[in-house]
Amino acid sequence: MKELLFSLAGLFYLAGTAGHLAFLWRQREAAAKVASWLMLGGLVCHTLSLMGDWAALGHIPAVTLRQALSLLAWTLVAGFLLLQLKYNLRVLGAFVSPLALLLIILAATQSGVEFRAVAGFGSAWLVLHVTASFFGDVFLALAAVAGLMYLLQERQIKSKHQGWFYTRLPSLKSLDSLGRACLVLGFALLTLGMLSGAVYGQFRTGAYWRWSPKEVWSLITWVLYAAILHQRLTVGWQGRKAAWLAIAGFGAVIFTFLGASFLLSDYHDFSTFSRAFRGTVR
Amino acid sequence: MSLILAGLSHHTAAVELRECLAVVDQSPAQTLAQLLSLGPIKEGFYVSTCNRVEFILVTEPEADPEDVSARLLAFIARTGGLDDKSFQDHLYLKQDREAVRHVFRVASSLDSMVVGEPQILGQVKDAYRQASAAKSLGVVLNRLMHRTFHVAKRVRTETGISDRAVSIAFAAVDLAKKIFGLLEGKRVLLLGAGEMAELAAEHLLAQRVAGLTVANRTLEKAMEVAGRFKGRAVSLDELEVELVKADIVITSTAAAEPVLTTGMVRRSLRPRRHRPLFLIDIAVPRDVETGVGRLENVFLYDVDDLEEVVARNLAGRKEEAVKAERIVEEEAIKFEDWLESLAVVPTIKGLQAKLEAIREAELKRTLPHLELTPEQTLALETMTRTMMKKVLHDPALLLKRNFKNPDNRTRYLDATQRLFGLNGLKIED
Repeated sequence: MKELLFSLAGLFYLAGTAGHLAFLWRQREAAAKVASWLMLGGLVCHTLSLMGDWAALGHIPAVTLRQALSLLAWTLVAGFLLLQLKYNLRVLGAFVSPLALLLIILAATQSGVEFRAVAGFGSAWLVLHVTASFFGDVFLALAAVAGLMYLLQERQIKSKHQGWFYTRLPSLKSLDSLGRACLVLGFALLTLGMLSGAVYGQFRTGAYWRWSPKEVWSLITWVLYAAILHQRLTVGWQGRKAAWLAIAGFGAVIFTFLGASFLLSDYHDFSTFSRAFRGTVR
Repeated sequence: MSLILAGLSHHTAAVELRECLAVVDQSPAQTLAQLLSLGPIKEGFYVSTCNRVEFILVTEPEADPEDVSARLLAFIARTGGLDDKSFQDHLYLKQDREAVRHVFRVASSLDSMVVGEPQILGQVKDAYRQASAAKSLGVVLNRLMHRTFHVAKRVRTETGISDRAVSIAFAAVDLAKKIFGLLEGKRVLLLGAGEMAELAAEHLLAQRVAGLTVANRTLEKAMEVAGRFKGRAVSLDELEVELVKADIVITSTAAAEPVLTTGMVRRSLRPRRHRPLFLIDIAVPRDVETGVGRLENVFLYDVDDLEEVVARNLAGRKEEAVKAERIVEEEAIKFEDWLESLAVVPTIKGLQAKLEAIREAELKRTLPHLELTPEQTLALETMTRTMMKKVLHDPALLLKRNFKNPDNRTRYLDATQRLFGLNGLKIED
């Protein structure tokens, strides 16, 4: 059942992506409206599927890479739809929905080995750590997308050769405010995710902080974003520089999410999670 | 029944001639009444703007279109107080589908002087309201006008024909919106004076910017311009201070050297807290150093850049116009289909009327010779009526079914009318 819902969510995201791209191409408001509803339909299926996983596992489904990617796709769509409520930036969907589609496809290609519930894995601190971190990553991703859109539009205006993107992208001002809002929200959630993770770590391993590669890279990312935020909020940086920084910062996020797991061996990565917890079960 | 359109526009007549027709000192209701009294005419409509005058008529079914057209042309000449012969070279005359297409094109602004300008639709709508109030519209023109509004809406939403600025002032406003989003609350600094700069300022004020500051070499001149726009006048010495406050700067001084140097603008960036700055340099020679455009969050457009934008937009409109013409053609065909289906109805009605007349005549002749009870009379009447309906059933179906192929339909209609001698009949509606 939850497999079916998962596939259904993927199909909804596919249709939503097609709708958003059609909107980008043809600029029909109706296409974007339909596409947003499709994404919402996908989100509902996806939520039910995740709830099924959660119930079956007994803990938040964020342990294997498959689960993490799927949850990330879910968070991205949820974050995007939440933003839609405040910023009526329909064109954002054309950038975000392909990303969500890519994530759910990547998740589907990963083998879906399941693990039994482990003591302490049902902790509310873990749920908070995972949710806050994922939403944090997603909003930082959206900040980077806004930055990319800003750079595209700025280029159109500065080069004095307004082309295809000029009419399709919103004003620099709205892209900049979107980037700023996503940055503030993403940074706050990232902080919350790291703090709750530290508390959870104390419960599980007896140490708040273990200097594992993922933790170190999270800290580097956090410091980087703190600096970006400082420049934006106190020095008043905006526009081009801020857009580049949002993109660079997100590079660090990706590295922390994937690179630190794959390149640097770590108790915190997706493959050793399983070994560690199998050990616990035994 | 035919649809006849006659008129003149900026394509065919010079402004002096158009003026003669535009300034008619009588009410629209009077003009419409005169139009309807020209001959066998059922419906009438006209629209008059500074660029065109268009008259549209729907004739009675049996009217001769050529005769009505001639009367319409004479009427237009009379209204304009003009000599028939020289005047008629400037008029165009269109019938049925051509007329429909023309109305669609006019309202969609495809026939306008500046293709894509939005005013014409409003003018046609006003004219429609007047005609509606004067009750000069019937089934055909009401439908035509509603289809016209529908077509204009389709053209506006499905093509980009009117969403590109085609004047320098509008292009500047358009760019400002792409930089600032809403212009509400933005501060405009006008450096120097001049027609084009003031026009741009006017357009910006229409977007409800917070206020206008005018700087000039002489304070007196600055005050004069500021007075016109309800703005504030400052002297050129205060330029650096004003630069920090401003969001949009329009320069148009007669200075030979740049008034705004890269250094000046760069110095303003920090106190501005990196807020975007949009510089519109309309002066020749230019007032702003080109290096300024390379600064971060500063956007510089000079008059050549804006002219290029306008030229590109005009070219873009032409491309979009091709799409729009296709929409117009589609809709004109649909309307013609509908119009032709109307012609089927009178023929069927005529056939019905003829059979009914025969039935009644025969009943009247036969019934008095028979001594029948009322029930029997009723039965006989019902029987003959049923016979008539059954006879009519198949021909009516055939005529209605075939109107998709216009040639066949016309052939059948013609045959039906000949077979039953319907041409001589006076058909009502």
